[in-house]
Parts: sequence; C-alpha cells; structure tokens
Amino acid sequence: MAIDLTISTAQGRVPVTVLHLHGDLDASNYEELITEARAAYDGGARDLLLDLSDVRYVSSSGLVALQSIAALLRGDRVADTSEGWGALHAVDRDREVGLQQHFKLLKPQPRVQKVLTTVGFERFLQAFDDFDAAVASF
Amino acid sequence: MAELSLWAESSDLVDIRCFVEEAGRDLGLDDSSVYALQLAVDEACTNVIMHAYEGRGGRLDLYIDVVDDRIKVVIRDWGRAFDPSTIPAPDVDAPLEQRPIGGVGLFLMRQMMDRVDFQFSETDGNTLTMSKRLHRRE
Repeated sequence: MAIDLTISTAQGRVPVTVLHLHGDLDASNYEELITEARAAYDGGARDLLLDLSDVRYVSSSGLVALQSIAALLRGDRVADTSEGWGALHAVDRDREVGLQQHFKLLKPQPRVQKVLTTVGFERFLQAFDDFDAAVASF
Repeated sequence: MAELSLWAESSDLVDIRCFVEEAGRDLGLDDSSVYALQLAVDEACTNVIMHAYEGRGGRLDLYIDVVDDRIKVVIRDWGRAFDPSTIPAPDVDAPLEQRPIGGVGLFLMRQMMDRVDFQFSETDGNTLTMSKRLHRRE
C-alpha cells in the first residue's frame, strides 16, 4: 500500500514541518515515510510534527519509522532503507536522551495510542490533541 | 473456520488485516479483541514476509477458528526458520535513543495474545499457533 502523505509548514517559535499521514502505516509503506521525512530533513526541516489524526493502524514497522524519524531529527545517522531491514536496526543512538524535542505527534487515535503505550513510546514521543499547542511546543 | 491462502508480500498486509477483521466479526468478537487479533496476525505475517521469505514473497496459509472458549490462529509458511528464543524482549522503559530500532513485533504478538507457539519443520514448514480467550460482543 503506497503511503498517502501531505506536507505543510507552520510557524511557531521555529518553523515546523507537518507530515499529514493518511491510512494505515505498516510494513508495506513505513520505508516511504522514512524517505519522506529524510527528504524534509535534507530540505532544512529540523522540527517535525507527524499528524496521525487520519491513521487508524500502526504496526511494529510503523514504530520503526517513528524511531528512525526521531533519530533523524536528533541528528543521528539513519540507515538508508535501501540497505534493507537489518540496516535499520543498527543506527547510531547515543545523543539526545529522553523526551524527543524535535519530533512530536498530533492526535494519535486510541488504537494507535494503545500500540505506542504498549511499547513505551508515549513517554518519549509527545502527543498533542491541539494543532496550535503542538506547533507552539517546539 | 476462516481460511486464507496466498502468495504473501507486504502489499497484502492490508488485505490480511481486512480478512482478520471480517473473521473476527463473524466469530462475534468484541472490538478490542478484533483489533488485538489484527495486530497479532499482522505482526506474524510481517515476520513471515520480511524474514522467512526475506521480502521475496511466498506461500502463507492462515486459519482462524474458535476452539472451546478460545480463538485460535494458525499461520504456516515454508520460508526460513528462526529461533524466537534469540529475539530479546524489548526494554519498553528505555529511552528511544537507547533502544535498537525495531524488534517489537514478537513482543506485540505476545502482548495481544495469551499464547504464541512456534514449530519449525524441514518437511512441513513453519507453523505459528496463537490463541486468546474469547471476548464476544455484548
């Protein structure tokens, strides 16, 4: 399933790039999300908000994308997805510790939130229900 | 019993989830149980597609049934076997930057289901059996 994504920007204290994801996030498209985030980063984006309001399903592959994007925004090296599944498990991961400052989530739906909570991501990836509050938090 | 047999690739995951949802509804499962079943089956099938068949596609058989007061799922493939005991449990309390990327698929399966058992045979292929106590709709 190809990823369905739109990108916008919002101005808070800093410019915030917003990725609006539509549909499910699974093993068929998580690499595309990483690629899109990498392209935004390469284009200068340093603060990224992922809008999950229209996402009803996230699998562990989707969680790989979230981890990889968080690492990207921390300035860590993120393996190129063309290097394969295994390469994603070997990125640098020794910089910013704790709550992620440059990558946040908007409106994860209850089922998606349950997955985030089950794997303990909710303590490190801030999620907002209000768009303006999310933008202002960066 | 609901049965599905297909040449599985990652693009089939959305159809597999739809199949599981329909089977769960037909069996009278409540919403929470349907979602847990979807997530567990999706993770299992992702492992088959990405690891057992290394992304090249291969035959996957899926059976969903109710046995006594439990929902039972059987997934068979003929790809590369793996030893689940070599997959470490993720530290869900660790900050993201201190975790390896990925590796939570098996964990999610075990969180969503009551029992997860693997059998590997050179002649009969790989068989994953998962079960969970039945929670029917009110």
